[in-house]
Amino acid sequence: MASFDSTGTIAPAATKTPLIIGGSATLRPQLWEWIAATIGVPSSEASFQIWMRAATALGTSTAVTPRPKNAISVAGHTAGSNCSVEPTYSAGQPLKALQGNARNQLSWQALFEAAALQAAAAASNGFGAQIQIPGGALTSIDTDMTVIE
Amino acid sequence: MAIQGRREGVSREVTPEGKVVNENETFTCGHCQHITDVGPKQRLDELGNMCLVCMRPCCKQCTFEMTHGGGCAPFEKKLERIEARANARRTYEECAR
Repeated sequence: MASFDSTGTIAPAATKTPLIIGGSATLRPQLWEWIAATIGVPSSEASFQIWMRAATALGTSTAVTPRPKNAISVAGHTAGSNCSVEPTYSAGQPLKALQGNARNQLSWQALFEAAALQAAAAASNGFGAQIQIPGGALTSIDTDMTVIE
Repeated sequence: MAIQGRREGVSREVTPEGKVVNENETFTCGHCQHITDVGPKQRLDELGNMCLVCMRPCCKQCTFEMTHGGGCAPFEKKLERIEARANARRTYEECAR
């Protein structure tokens, strides 16, 4: 078991994905922690909303190398920031929605394994954080995910 | 609220000064992985129910499906089906080359 952090950013707009995590054919990545915040002074006090969604195709993004917490492990999963082609998400409700003031940091954390989100061991499956309402976010929206594999 | 005596997960909103303005415990549905926020003094049966087959808490939607003939459908079984489909597709593609 190794733990990795990945960071993604994107200019605030509805239905845009700052960070996408993809699985691989040999392992099931587990999402343990997710943090969302905005960078820069917000333009208003309007809340922003961001969804965690299960992806079935990963779209096109700038590759990000997941950072191992032990400094030596190499990730089997993939991460991408600033999606230029949106991933294909499972229809319906998100796995988790976070919403709050654009000045604040929003987070969700699993406290034990049964609560962590799992993706299938298939290269095109994973998790994405998708902005739904940019609200007062002005410069960019930043999201971090901790994945254990 | 704790499920089986344990806190499952937590969601927070923290101000730039480090003050927690909103904190909720959460549980992850054992059938679909939907994460449900648990408000103060809310009971599990207001938010879903416990599946007595896989012994995991379930969201409202999955509880509805269970009580209307859907039965227990653990998320691990869904993952296995997705992986089997992906493996079969990869095998066909390799044979076609």
